[in-house]
Amino acid sequence: MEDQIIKVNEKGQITLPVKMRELEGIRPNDFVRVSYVPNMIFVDKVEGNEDVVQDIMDSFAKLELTDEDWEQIKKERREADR
Amino acid sequence: MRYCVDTWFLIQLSEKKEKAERILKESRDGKDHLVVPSITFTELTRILLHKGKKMEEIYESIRKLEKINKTQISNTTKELVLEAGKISFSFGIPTVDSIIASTAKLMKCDAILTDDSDYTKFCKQNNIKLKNW
Repeated sequence: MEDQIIKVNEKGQITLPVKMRELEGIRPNDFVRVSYVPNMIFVDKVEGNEDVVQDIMDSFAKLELTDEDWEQIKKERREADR
Repeated sequence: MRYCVDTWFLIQLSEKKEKAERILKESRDGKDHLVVPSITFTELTRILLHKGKKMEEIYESIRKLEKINKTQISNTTKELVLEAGKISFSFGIPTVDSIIASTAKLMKCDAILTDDSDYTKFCKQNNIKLKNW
């Protein structure tokens, strides 16, 4: 989807374009996170239920990453810059 | 505490390390803040594809992680990569490390979650802690 130019009102408020809200499943009364990095502001939807940590741990566990993988990554970092 | 996450931490999650889980819970509860440089996903993806994992599985894990409260995926911006270049030159650290270090500096993180000793000099000079277990 292309970037869109929208107007900021006097209170500093903006309206997120409908299509973007639909794509991200953002509905009235949902919470969004607003993040800042120099010259850019990002908006994304957040979820905060109790099971979310376990869900993340289970999801990453399925990827079966190990300490050996980390050692390989560190080796590749150093070799890439030679 | 505001943490910048190295790929090491994502591997700790995969290994279900208790301390990694604790940090994730602190983030969920709003006590800690996690900044995840997007370049960690590049390393993760490359190694997982090499291991025969599918992109859908990788996307799913990343999508879940980025939706947790107080966890922020840091995109690679012009300012960030220019600072990374300076760090890489000044401290003689690899490019990927320098992007993570640059993220920690520009996003005003208190610590980098890693066991990579390459960051030691950078962290000392910039008053950033190295946290691992």
